[in-house]
Amino acid sequence: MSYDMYNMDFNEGLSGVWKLVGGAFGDNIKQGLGVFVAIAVISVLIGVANAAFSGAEGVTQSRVPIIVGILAIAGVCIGNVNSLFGVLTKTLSEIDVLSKTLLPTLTAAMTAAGTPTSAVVKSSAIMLFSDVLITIINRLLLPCTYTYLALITANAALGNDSLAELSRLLKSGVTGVLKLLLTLFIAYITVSGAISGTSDIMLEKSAKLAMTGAVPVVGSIISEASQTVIAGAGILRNSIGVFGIIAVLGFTIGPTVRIVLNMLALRFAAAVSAPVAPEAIVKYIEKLSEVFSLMLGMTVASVLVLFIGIVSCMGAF
Amino acid sequence: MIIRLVGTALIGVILIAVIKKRNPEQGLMLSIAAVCAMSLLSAAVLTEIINWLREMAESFGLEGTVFETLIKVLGISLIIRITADLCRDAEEKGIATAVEVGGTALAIFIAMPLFNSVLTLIKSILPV
Repeated sequence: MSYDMYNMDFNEGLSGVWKLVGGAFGDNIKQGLGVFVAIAVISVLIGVANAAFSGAEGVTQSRVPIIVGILAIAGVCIGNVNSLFGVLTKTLSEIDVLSKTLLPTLTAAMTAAGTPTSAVVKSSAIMLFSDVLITIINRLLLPCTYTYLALITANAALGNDSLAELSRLLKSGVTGVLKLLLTLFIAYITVSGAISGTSDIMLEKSAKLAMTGAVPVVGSIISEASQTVIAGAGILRNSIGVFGIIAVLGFTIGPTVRIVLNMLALRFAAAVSAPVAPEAIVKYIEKLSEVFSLMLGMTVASVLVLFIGIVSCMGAF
Repeated sequence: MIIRLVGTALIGVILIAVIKKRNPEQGLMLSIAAVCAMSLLSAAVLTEIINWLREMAESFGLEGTVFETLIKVLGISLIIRITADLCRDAEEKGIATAVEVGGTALAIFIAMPLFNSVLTLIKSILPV
């Protein structure tokens, strides 16, 4: 979907994002339903096979049907997870490019709007945190999520929970790093916004005073007229911010909807399978949905950094 | 269907109870015959269910090989369970265990392509 960015207004942008949401739902809802039905069918068959294998008193408790079920579910889901990892990596690189293009423009508009200190402090913080977050996700968190996926599959197949602690550690590590980075970012933006805001007010007042004193007779008129220029630059800054928000939404809405639909499909499948399938299968389906939760967390965190940053640059806080 | 199934089961149980005391070998053969008859009766319904599940799985994109593997494992499970129970009825626990072990090995053998494909998938996404 392409837009004429020079003639685009906020409503048009939002309706474009809404169309993207509709498109993303249409494309992915059948796929999510397919995952749900496939897992439900596997669960029913494995439930019956497991009951037959281990139902009678004195019969050896064989895990073969459970292992086969886990492998079948892994076969259905891992390919899907793998393609979503690719989509997530692409989205992160798009967010990276957008932040590196948008933020310098926003900095220039903020400087023209009379907040040069805030512009430098905020935009450099957003760029730094966005870059750090995306690098950490690509280099550390995504490989950790791959490993988590492999560990939960192996743990479910082994059936003795020997790898459960390790997988739990990886999961809490990934969520912990995301939470820490977001908290640090929000704290930095809030504190630096308060300090640089005061500095900008002082700078503006001293500039006005200097101009009034330096130019005889019309100095005060020029000084007041500069307010109009600053107000115009403020409008420009807000327009760039709104465009940035729409662009971020446009980049991320499709992958987010896809991840959410897959996660919901697995959660529903786990709920539906619970009465018929063995407990190990249900637990494995729930753990698989957690992989999608982690991916959602990474997408939302990287979007939030840019989102909060843009809103902060627009002067909300 | 259910009347035929229950009828066969009750007639089989009564006949076996009568014959078993005089001639245990004939009782066992009758037991096997009853099991076969009831399995054949259930087979028609099971086939319908499996066909429905296959259609549903195919229409929602579940790979045919995965479904076939699951059906084979299900079939093995049912046959092994019935055979092992028949062996136990005949007081042949050793044979029952051997049947179970053999069935388990066969199920693993059938699931090997699935195991290989999942391992390949995991290897392809792991960063090392």
